[in-house]
Amino acid sequence: MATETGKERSQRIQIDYYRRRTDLHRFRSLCVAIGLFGALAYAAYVALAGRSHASTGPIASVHAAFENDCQQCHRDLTPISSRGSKLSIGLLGIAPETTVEHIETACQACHQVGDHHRDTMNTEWQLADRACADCHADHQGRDHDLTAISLQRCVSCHADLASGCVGTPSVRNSVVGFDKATHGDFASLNIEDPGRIKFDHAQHMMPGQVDTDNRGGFTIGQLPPLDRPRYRREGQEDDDLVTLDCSSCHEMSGAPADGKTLIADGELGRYIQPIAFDRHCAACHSLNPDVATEFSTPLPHAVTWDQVDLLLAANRSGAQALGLTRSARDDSQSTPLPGVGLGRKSVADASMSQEDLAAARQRVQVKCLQCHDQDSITDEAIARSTSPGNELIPSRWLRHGLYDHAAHRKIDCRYCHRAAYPRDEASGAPNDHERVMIAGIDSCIWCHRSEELPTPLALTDAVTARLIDGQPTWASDQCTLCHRYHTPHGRSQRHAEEVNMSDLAAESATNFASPPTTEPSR
Amino acid sequence: MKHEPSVRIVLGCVLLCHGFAASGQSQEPPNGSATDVETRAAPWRISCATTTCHGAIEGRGPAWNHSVSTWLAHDPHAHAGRLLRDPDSRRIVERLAVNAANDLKVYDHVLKTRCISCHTSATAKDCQSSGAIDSGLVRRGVHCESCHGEAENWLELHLRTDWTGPQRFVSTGMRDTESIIGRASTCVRCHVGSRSEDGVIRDMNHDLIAAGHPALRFDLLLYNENLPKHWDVQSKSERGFSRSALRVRQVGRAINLVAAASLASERADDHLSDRSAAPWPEFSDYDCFACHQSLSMREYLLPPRSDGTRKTPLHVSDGLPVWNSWHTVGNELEMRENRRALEVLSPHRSDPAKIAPLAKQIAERFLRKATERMAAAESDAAIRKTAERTVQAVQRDLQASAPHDWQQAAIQYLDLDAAARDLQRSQETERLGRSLAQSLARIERLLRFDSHDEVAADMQRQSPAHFDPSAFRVNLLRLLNEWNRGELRAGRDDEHATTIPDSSSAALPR
Repeated sequence: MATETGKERSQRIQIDYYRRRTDLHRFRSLCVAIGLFGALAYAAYVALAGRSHASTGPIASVHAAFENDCQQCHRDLTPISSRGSKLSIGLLGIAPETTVEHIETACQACHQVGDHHRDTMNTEWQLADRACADCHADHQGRDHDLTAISLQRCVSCHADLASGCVGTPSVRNSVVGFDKATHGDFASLNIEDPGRIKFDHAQHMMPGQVDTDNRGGFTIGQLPPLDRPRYRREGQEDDDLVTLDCSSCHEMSGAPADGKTLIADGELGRYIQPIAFDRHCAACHSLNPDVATEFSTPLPHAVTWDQVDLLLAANRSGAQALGLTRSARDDSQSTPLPGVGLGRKSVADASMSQEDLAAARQRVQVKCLQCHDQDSITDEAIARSTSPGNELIPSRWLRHGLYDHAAHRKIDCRYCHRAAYPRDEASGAPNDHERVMIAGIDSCIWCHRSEELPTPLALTDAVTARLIDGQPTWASDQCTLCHRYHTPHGRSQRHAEEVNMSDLAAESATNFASPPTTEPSR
Repeated sequence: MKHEPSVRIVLGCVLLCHGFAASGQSQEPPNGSATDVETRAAPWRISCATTTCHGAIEGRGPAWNHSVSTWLAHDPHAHAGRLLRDPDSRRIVERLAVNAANDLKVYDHVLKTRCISCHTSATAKDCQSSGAIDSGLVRRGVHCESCHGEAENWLELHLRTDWTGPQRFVSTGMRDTESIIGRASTCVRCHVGSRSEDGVIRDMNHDLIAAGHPALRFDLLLYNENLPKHWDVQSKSERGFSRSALRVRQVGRAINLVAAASLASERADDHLSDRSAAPWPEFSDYDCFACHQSLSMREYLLPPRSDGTRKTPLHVSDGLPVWNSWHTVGNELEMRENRRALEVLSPHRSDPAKIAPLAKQIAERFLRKATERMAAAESDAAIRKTAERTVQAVQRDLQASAPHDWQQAAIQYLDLDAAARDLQRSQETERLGRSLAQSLARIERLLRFDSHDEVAADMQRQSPAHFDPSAFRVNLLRLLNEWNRGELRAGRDDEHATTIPDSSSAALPR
């Protein structure tokens, strides 16, 4: 191959080549121009619009205090979502696991919530469980609801739990929607009623709490005077029958006195107040002492039998001392009998024999058995039942999901609890205290359905329309309306459900200050 | 377990009264345990004493709602069982069985065979079983089911609005406590006695009286009045009791005699079939005071009566005790002046084989009589007239002679007492009746076994040993005359005046 000579090179390259603009020069200039223009435009945009593109958007108002403190969450350049790149480049400061740990620690500093059955997850899902921002992605604007988790987000795992579990899932493996086919009916309805109180809702819903063909209905006048205003309906006299409705016993938590309005408190009425004997039963079912004179004080509920004995003896002795009761050898008569006259008024014996006391106690015990089973009225059982989580009437029946009574307050109770009503109004089987009288998922999905689905015809019939009282007929089907992801701190959710459902409910409510919007305008 | 609500309530209330009765079942419960509470009807077993049924605070709501509370606080029946363990009862039982003092089994055997049939709500099985007595029976006393019948078959029914009318008491086991005859028949099972009702023997016989038990002198009107009311006294059924006291007394006494005659018949039958089953003659069938008299010469040596016979101050039949005198005096079976009847029925001659059918006939006859008396409609005027005639009749009897004995005097007093009540019920004679009733309070004191005390000090002394028929006659006649004159002076309408001639000065013995 011949070597190029100098002449040849001078002929090929113009001597002023460096003065001439080539395409490359033009391209470079164009790039510079574009760059400058872009920079100026961006500067103008930032200057005029007041926006910062250092982040993807303003953080939610609840975190606004950290707006300018990025390092609270951002440790390095690693995306804090586990859905981002899994690439780990230590030299460049990209380390997903470290970042997730950091963000979890940062969140837990304030939000001390538990995990989501992490011990049953494989490594990949455990990382996702720790990545708070996976679900609670911020920088979505001030008004963004960090707790609004889409159904799809949950389904991303629950479509096939087995793929992320180290063992066989203990719950339904696949949940991809909210209806009987894709979600299944509420598991809590398929088990025996966890309540241990013998109770007949239908009977209590009848006027006077007796069947229509029965007599002896309870009247306002039979209530203690202080309780009469509470149960007296408009226009009722003392001789009128006590007529109860659901709210007579099932009061919204923190509800105002009239029970018809709610103050602006997201927690108000989320749960129904637990049934308490003194508040909800004693007016009609007061535990009268053995000798129930006009001045007797009812026995306290759920106290030890020694306390009951003491009060029984005190009551008997007091009644005798005041001449309110007859003693055993009292032969006195109001009308004289031939021969014996007015008889002999025995001197009151204030003492109460052990035998009498035992008899009096057993008369009380027999009353207890009206509502309780035998195992529930021992001292030990009573002490147990008064400890949190062991109540004889659970504070929640739907043990896997939450239900917000306040959000549904305008809907007639019988929409979901029809079985609790007198049987002539119910189409179902006779009700009793041995079954949970809550309608299944079918009662929910008419409203809580996908946006794409039309309004079911069943919602439009007159009876149902009356029950829902003109409420919107569409509501979100987000999982988080009913379910909470996090368990109370330091516990697995399953454990919490089994041990203390009321705690779970309370803590969940605390951790998630306000529920997602359930009824968007359409 | 699924039931209709009403059924559940009832089942729950299982044994309305059984539930209540359960208080005190068997042995003492361990502290905090209810293992012996629920023995008969699990899982629903509720007392009739619950607040919504019959155990509300006294005075609150209708009477039925606190009937158990009233019973427990005021009714002597509630304590009837516990009396069996107190010293007075111990003395009686130990007299019946000497070994009872030291042997609880013997003591309980006496209670089972002689006492608990009336003092508790015992069943035949309770009375027959061997071993220690169920302490629950004693604690419960005479409870709801004793008078109202076993609730098992009517517990649900009695809640219904159509649970009305006399058919309720047919075949359901519920006893009629609403009609006069029904209530009287319920009471007399114990307060007179029976050897067949409810399958138990309730025979308060001479042995028991001798051991110290008070003799039975039941009077429906007074006992009913003394019983704390655990029912609505304004109810329709109660009007039968309030309409005419004389009718209640007459029907009650007829039913007393029915029960007494039936008991005598049953005793005779039982004695004929097994001499050890029932002693014969049964002295409690006779007037106690015919035999139990003072043996002092001072009291025996009295001046002869106008008929030439010499009688004790009690003026009883001198060796011919009157058969069931408390029930027969003043009735059609008055036998005091019928020496032949007294001889035939006297204890040493009475033949159980003859007494059994005769007593049955008497029972049937007086049951008819009671029924007829109840069926007879009485206007207010007729009731008033009957009351006035009753006063006149007693006055006439007293004018003719002093009462034969304390029993007859007591019956005369009771008749006047009932007449006074009926007179008070009429607006026209209300004042007349009230003044008579007030005056009779003085006469009642003359009848007391210890008339000097405000209240009989020693209830063991159930004897009219100091009763003086002549003094009774004088005082009562004087009272009636004063009363009659006083009312006339008060300007009472002569049309309604009870015109009784003033014969006190002429008739009274000097």
